[in-house]
Amino acid sequence: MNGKDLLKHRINLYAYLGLVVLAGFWMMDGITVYRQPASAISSTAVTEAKPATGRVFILLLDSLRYETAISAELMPHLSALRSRAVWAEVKPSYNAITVPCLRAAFTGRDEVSVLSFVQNFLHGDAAIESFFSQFAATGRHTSAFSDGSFLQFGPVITPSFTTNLAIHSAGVEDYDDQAVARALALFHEKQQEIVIVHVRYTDYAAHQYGVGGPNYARDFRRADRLVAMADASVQGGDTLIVMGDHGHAIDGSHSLGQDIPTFALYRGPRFKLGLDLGTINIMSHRWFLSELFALPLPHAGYMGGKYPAAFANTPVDIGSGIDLSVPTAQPTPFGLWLYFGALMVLGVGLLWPDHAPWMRARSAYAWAWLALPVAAAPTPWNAWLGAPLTLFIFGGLLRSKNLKAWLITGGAVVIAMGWHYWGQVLASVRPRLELITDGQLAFGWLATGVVVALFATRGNRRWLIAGLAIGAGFLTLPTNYRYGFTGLMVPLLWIWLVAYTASLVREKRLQTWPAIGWAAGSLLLIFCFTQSFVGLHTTHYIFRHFVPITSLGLIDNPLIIERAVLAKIIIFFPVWPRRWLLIFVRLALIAVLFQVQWRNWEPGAFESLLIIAMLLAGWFALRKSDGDLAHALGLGLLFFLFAYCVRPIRETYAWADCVFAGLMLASRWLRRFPQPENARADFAVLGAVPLSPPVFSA
Amino acid sequence: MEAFAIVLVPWIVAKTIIPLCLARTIMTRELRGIVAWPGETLRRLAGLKVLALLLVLTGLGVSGTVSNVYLEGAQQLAVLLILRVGLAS
Repeated sequence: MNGKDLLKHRINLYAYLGLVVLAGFWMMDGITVYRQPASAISSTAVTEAKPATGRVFILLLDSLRYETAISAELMPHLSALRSRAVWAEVKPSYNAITVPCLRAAFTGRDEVSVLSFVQNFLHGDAAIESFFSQFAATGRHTSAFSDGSFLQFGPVITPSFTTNLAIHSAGVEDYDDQAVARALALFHEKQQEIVIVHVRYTDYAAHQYGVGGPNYARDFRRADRLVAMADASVQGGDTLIVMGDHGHAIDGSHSLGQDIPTFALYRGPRFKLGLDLGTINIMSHRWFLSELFALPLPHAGYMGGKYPAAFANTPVDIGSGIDLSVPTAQPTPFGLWLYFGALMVLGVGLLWPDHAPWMRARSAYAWAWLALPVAAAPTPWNAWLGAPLTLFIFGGLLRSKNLKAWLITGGAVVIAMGWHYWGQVLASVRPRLELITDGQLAFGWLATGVVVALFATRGNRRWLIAGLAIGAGFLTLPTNYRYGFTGLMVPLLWIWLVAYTASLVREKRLQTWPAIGWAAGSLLLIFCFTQSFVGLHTTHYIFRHFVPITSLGLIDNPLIIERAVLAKIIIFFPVWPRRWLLIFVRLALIAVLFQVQWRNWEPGAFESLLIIAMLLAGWFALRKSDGDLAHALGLGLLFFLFAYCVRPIRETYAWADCVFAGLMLASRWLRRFPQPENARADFAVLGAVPLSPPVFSA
Repeated sequence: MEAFAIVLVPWIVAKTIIPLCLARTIMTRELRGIVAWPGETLRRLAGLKVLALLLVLTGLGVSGTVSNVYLEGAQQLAVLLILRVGLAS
């Protein structure tokens, strides 16, 4: 291909990959995320709504931990109020932060839509179907005092008193207390059937102080007085709901997957007195509100429980009403995976157009694109239309081709579908994989290393590594854990080094002391630099920290600064320069970068732009006349941009330095012990390591 | 303001690929004259990984998208697509 065709091919390929990823998540959202048209909700609500008496005041205490809520010491009023109400321990939504929890509580569904993130990225906040939209369709009114957490429900909550006062601002306690007083005053005006007030400083107290400290107790006692105030104010036929959005751990944290229960309490004439419902899920709030206002639940998609025993004049038996099972996916036709597998095979054809028999037709690119738009159709239409369409396209592309081409193409589609089903297998075995210990994992890699050492030769080692790379890189779970593919890249690098070393031993190239010393020394350094990356630990998809596989002396994480400085010296001094100017410039760059990366010095925008401009100008001016100096300035520029533009935790810079130094030393093996026929594959192994997403993003 | 967040995409892509550019610069300096940067191989590998990861995710997602494995996988897929831009040249 000439330059223009190559550019066209790459743009074509990248656009196809991007769109096929969007199509994939669109289809997954179509299967797992329930969407009910707003018109259907409105008409259902209007025709089926029955008259109801009484109004509701909701006191939402942010991050109300269950144990705190029932503690007579921390929240005496709330604890005592249980004797006059129905109350429960509440499982929060999977994503245990305020906005998703509130969405789950008032939609009755706990769902994750990857594309909703993209949608918000494009359109900002979008309204969703919820109890409030149903309630508004019956002509009734909801008002909320919050910080924007209720904006997700759209204009059906009106008026929405949204504060811009940040949760950690001075005076937020007074502000929120006053908001409760204002909300109660609004409630007594009787214009709104539901008034919600969101008290946020409890969340701040949990994060700031953790459970049990004097400041934590002070703030929750303060919030408890608001419960007493609301309890005294909401009387007669009205209902008081006290609820949390999520709980918090001992250290005050709450995040994705942290199943720490919160609390809910319903007090009013419709409810029994002193009834403990046990554990319910947060989606059940929708059912309670629907019952209170005599509105029907959505025809499908509701994921909470039903608790008729909570209401007065019903039997006390609550066991049969509890339903914590959560349906996650609609049944999907087989054709959907056939269609999707075929889309992937067309993508593979774009990656290897010269080798894929289905890409040899002149109009192959156009046919590949033609298969894509059907993915936007809702399930199951995408399956019914997509499967025959792609089969038709393959038929057209393979017309006049021989049997071998047909078999290869058919095999590729079967493998692609197999990859999808492999994902289902991984989902089913994941609980067992969670039980793998660090020791077992280390033993697995050790055994692999021994096998590779026994069999690797100069001729076969690239095939051995390719086999391992397919297993580690393409068949493992897509987690950041130690057994996920990103955590396997560094052990794979080590195995590559083992294979390289074994091939050199077999060639008798490691027989002199200098060669043995160099190999052993660089292997030890590479291990020390990269061993932290084996124990990637995350907390529920948010990458947290590296855990070294050993904590001995120089290779322990507490010495990460020292390792990072050593790494920088190795990177900036690949060979010892003979000029003092070069030594001085490189040392100065290391010193400045260390100060910036470790945030001892945080240059402002002007200083940063000045530094960037100077480094860029120096690199540009010297790139032909003084290559060594220009290269040092270029490296300094990239490191500075990394420090200035990417703002992860500061230790990440040090870990990244270690990876860079490890890769550099590993690259040197190709120079020190050349095996030309393997060099290209070797460089590909090294180049794949920095494609591990979490390495630089902590 | 969130409505204009899309204008930040080029910035997000640019800053995400900086470390990859650094690693590439350091390695190509070491191997200059010995072997060329295997850009085409890596582009194909990363593309294949994107497709394979998407297929595995559809399998994982059938049994529940409300899981950290699915969401981590989606996160990795997004980062990999961005990093693939760093392999463009």
